[in-house]
Amino acid sequence: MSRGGVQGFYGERLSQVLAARRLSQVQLAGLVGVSPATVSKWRAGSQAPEREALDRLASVVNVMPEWFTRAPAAKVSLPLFRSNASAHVAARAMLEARLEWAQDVALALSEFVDFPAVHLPVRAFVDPDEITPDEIEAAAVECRELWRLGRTAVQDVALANEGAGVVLIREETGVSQIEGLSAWSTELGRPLILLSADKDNGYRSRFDLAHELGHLILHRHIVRPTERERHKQMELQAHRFAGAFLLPPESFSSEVRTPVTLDDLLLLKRRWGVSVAAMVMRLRALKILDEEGSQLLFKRRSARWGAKAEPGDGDRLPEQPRLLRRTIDLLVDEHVMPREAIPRHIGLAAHDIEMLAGLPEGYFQAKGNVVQFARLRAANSEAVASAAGNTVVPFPSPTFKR
Amino acid sequence: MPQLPQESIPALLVRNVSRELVMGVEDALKSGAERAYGAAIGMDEGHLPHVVGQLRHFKMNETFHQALAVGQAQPSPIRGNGLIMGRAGIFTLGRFNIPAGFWVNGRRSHIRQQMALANKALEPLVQTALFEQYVEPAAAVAFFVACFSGSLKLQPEGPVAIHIAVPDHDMRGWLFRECLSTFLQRYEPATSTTQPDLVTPKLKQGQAAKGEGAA
Repeated sequence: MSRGGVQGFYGERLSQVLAARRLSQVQLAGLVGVSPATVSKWRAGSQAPEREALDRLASVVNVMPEWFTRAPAAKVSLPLFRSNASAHVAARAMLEARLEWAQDVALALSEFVDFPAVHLPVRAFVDPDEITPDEIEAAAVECRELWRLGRTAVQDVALANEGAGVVLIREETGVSQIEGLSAWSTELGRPLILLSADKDNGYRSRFDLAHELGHLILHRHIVRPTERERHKQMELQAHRFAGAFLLPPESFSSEVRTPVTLDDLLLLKRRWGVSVAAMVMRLRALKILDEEGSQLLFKRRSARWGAKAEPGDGDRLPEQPRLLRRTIDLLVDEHVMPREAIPRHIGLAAHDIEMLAGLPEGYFQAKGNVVQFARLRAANSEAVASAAGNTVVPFPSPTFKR
Repeated sequence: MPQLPQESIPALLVRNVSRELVMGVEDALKSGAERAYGAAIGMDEGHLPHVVGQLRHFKMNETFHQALAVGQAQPSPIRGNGLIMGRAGIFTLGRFNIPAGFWVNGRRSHIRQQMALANKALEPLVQTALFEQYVEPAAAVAFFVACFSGSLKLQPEGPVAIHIAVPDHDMRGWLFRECLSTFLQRYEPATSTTQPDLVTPKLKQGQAAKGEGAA
């Protein structure tokens, strides 16, 4: 174990922070001023940093030094990523580490508060082949019934998820190719979803959230696949769930005019809070459109609006998480913990907690609620009326300062 | 001034006429119109509009009758030129066609006018009376009204809109009328206009007391 270094240093914490900050061992070694081999030893647990090195290390990666001596919580279940491309290995590791930090934040806060009870449909599939389209539709219906959403458009998908006990994080990740990830936490006994805020599109964000919800319900007990086909199959199942959850067949189909046109769907887009592309996919899944019909609409969509954007994308602001933010507000308002002590309690940098909990930047630096307004000194407010009738305001003179 | 009662005509319709029946009638009227136009194709241009109109009457009566039967709405038998009527809860259901625009065709049928008399009991729901109180009626009348473009050059194979309409007692005005696509949304369970906010973390027992002490 450690040799002359800080007692109780956890190498896993170092691995976690390397992933979260997207730093290589060599880069970190350069920043801390030690050799890469030393960092490797710290990481493997065969050596622990000296006090000064730990302070430098903590300052470089922006966490509390003491955080490295806290036992890491049990890992969350392995998340499923939209993109399994090898180019995104570091990005996936970073997102996974951020999700684990979100788990740490929620765990630290759950010492003081009870979060909403977990209320999700339970499915025990162990193989994606067991999941038929009918099973997916039934799971989506059950979810809506559990959450008392009826069959109309869901006003706020984030609110519904968090009300059902899901811990939701929405932050800029710098990896726009991976829209979100989700996992079950055994320590918290509840699921977590992390959404990327990089695209800033309210319609896509709702669909991404419903997609992750599909993974949490349908794929909870399925071992994460390595084969490409299996991964794709599970992604399609989560997509189908998202469509079924956001656009229930009975109510959505009755509003769709046939033959379907892009303009009709644009009108429905705002009402249902779902993009035209996702609606075309849903209509295909419901067999209202055949393969040829959906391809034709996608082709027209690309021709009219391009491949990525759609008209009205900016009409709906992305839904914001509330649970962690409200919990921190509650602790502060009820004087359970002073605002500035919260980052210390959690062990992460104030900026990281602000991002994970959706708090405004500088939240933990705020001293109080008293706002001081600037007041003109008496000497400065003396205006001199010139002979021409104009008003001359003199510059403040140092001699007037008290 | 007397207050309007809490009850409303659309709420009465939703309670008495099932969503499945309304959707069945919607499909029936569309398919009836389509069959009528299909059957008239090839007839002489000189009387084609009349042929289409007449065929619509018969074909749509047939499909309407079928939809009422499937929806267990006790349809009256098909006999000659007679109206087809069904019954769902307190409502007697009928149908007629009109050209889009002014609703001129409603009063043409003497039987329809007689049927509409029952709706006097619904009028206090729209306009309060000084001396009469609203009492939930035992009978009322609603019509499915298929609106056609009025020209064989514009969507001749089907109605441009189908409404559900509740006439006043002398069929000179409408107490309620709404396009079926809008009306069908009324069947969605009223989950309240605002989604419930359940994102409420609660302080664990003991933490609140600690907090008060700190304050």
